[in-house]
Amino acid sequence: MKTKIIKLSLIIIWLLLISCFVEYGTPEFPAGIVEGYKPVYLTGAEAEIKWKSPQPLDKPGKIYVFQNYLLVNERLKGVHVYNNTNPGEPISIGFLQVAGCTDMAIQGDVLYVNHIADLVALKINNFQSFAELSRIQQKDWINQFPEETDVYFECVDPSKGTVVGWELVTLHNPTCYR
Amino acid sequence: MRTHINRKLRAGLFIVLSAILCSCITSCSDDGSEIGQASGKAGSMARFATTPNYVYTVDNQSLYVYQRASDGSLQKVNERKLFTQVETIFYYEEKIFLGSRNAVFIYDVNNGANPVLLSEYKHILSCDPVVVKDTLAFATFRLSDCRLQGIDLLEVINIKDLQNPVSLGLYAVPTPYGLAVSDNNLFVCLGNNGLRVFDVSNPRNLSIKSNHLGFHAYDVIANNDKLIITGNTGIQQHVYANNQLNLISTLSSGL
Repeated sequence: MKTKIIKLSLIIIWLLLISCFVEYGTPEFPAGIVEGYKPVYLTGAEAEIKWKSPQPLDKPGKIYVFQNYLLVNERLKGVHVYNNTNPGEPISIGFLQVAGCTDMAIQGDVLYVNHIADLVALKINNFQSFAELSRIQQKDWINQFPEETDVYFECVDPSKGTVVGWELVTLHNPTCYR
Repeated sequence: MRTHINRKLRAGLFIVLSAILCSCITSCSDDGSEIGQASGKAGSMARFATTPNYVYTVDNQSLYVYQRASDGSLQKVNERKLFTQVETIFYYEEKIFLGSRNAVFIYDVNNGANPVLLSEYKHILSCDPVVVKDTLAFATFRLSDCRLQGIDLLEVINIKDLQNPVSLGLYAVPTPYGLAVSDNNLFVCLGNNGLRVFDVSNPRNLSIKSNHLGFHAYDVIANNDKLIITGNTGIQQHVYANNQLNLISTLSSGL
């Protein structure tokens, strides 16, 4: 009886450990259809910070509340700005195009955002226009690989442009893994 | 009989250790966030934290300090090497909290240009959104990525003595993501399991006030009774009153 329990315990432990390591340690190729990361490339026209007309929400990321405004990050693309004076009816007032943007914060009348690999300060002028105040490069903000490890990803093709970030998608036979 | 129980205990311990081991080799892709003060809010995968006079950034190796000039432009004034990869940073009342893969580092930034390390609080996992209210920190741990279900946790930590944070309790919650605290209400996003509201008036014994199903909740900002919730389908705004969640507007995504 006792040895049975020991054996059973060992088998359970073994299975648990195997389930961990097999899943995350050794990739299998061809991978087939799997969840993984795809590089998001920057094209020339999207590189500059630009205040545009309202855009539909697609992949909302972080949200940020400032006074009566609601800011919604469009992952790796920019920032939607809503007048949220009446939370029952937020009004879209524009879209700030910021390639690679995932984070934003406001102090006073200055918006700080990550733009590609830079930390940029922008004067917000009541969300009428934006003026760049400073730009500081952050060397490790852009990864040529997904931040996560033990994941499949689509290999980077430099001919497609600069990688500004990674999105989680369903991949068909990815050939990169880390 | 006794050895029998001991063996069972040992087996149980092994399973727990395996789970922890498994969690250690699992990476996270959380993007929850939490409430900040006055100027707005920060996020759990935040790249930087702002204060009235400084902006702090983290990358794979260092904590950087930038001073804000009167016009809001930035100038680098300090750099601190970090000995572990920090994934998130947020600011709360003269402190910055850096979340790494296995600990939260708390720095005093009273002297803005020279952050002083106060303590390091060891976690099981890293990708954990944290919110702070007075002397309490609330953190969620999500281990479901490891496929060992049932060990997703909410932890309450007393941070009154910042050099010696103390755990006050652990609560099982399904697939927790971002969270927010307002008054005595703690709002915890549970992905496909909706939103759960805890009463935190007794931090040693949280009680569930209400559960709200039927939508995907990833992140939440709470401002008194008003909630802004993000999820797979977009952004919902609610009023929370009398244990009821009343939807007042929706911004749909992916149209």
